Amino acid sequence: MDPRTHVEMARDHVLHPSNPDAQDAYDFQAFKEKFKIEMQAIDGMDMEFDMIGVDAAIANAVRRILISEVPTMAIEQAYIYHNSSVLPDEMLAHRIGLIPLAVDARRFRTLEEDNNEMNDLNTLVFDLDVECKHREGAKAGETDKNKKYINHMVMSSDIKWQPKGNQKDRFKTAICPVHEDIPIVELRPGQRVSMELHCSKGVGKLHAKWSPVATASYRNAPHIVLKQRVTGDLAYRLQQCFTDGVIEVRDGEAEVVNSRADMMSREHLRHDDLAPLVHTTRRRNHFIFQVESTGALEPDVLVCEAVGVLKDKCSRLLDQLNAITGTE
Amino acid sequence: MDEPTDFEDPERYKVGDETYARDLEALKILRGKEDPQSATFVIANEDHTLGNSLRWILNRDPRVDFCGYSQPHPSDKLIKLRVQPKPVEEGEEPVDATEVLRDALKNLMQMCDHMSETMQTQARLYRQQQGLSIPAYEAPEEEDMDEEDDDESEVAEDDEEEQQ
Repeated sequence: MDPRTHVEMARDHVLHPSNPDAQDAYDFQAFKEKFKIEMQAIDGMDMEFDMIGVDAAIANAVRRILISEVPTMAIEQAYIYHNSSVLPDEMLAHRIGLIPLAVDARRFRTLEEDNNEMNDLNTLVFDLDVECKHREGAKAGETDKNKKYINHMVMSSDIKWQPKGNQKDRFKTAICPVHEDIPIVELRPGQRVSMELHCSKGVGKLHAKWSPVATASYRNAPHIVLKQRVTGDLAYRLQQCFTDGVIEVRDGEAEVVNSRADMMSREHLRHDDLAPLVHTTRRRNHFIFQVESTGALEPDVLVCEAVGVLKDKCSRLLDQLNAITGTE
Repeated sequence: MDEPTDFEDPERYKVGDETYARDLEALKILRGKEDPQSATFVIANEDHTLGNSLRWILNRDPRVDFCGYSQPHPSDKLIKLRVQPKPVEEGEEPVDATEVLRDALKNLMQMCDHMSETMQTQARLYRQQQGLSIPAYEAPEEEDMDEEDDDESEVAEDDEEEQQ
């Protein structure tokens, strides 16, 4: 196995974890030739893709930015006029803040950009006003809450957008939560919640409610090679040592059919007869990314945005450097 | 530790005899006496995301002898990036750490552009093949986002003209 491209996963240690060629000079053309993105699946707001030909430093930067520095819109201020529910105001406000909103934050500015003065370019306003009542004509002893009460559960769909300024023209469709079936608080007859909610633009490192992803993670692509032919009973036992679908037994002979499905349990190393048969390695510069958006933007858009944020960081630092030392 | 005592200047506060800036400078360059071409860059409001990326690309520059970064304390939102260019032979033009960092930043930016472009192309291709709708990869154009102030001044000018 080539130590420049593969990390060997041994029983109790990792072999050649860093690239012996790591000192190679950076060259954009060489990077361009090696860099590849292979889209594996986009399913609604979930995405899996392979990023090939980058160092862990860059892959990790993209992952970190996805989680904490790609901006989204979230409810930041809750002006509570009335709350006779069982939840205290602050807990209610916290729950409401965490509700993901289906709105493109790139169309908004942050409050800081406007010196903390609210306007229709940096703030969205929502109303939430729900009162629970007895449903008239409900049978005595009725146990179904839907038949017994009106509005016994405050749901995310009760949050109503109040367009301000020219927001109505800018947004053709009404802005609403991504999911309309998130329960916020349960009410009983006579209880009521009434509040105005202000939503602003922010990033995940301030509060997780602004994180645009539910998860963003990567793993190095597993690469499994049989060192020799494995047949008979041994083949079936070897198959059992790996995640389903990694090894298939064809005509009594074990064959690696799908390395990437493996979860690297390395169970075979526990069997003395199986251990020497297989090379379990990971590709050093091949990352399998899994990105799950919370719903404001598509996951592939988020990755592009994340790379853009990394570029912005560089350009900001470059400007500061030039301001100090003077441009060349 | 003494409490800050000087509330006169909103930009600075004093502890004992030392005066500190309330807001961190965005970038500070620290130099040693013996090795004038090396530098430690104190970068405010950045973390491992940029630090590690820069370290990686700087270590790939053949002009760099040593490069490392640290986040001295998790509560301080700053990183320190140390860049030591290779000593040069006599008569050669010495390379400055700022020069090296500038090139690293430019390389990283070029790399980002290519990554973003590739991601977009591949995502578009996949979505087309699967018959999925294609989202807006570029931020939607907003006419009034940045020109708001200009609009107001234009309106004011129009009013004046009408009055005349």
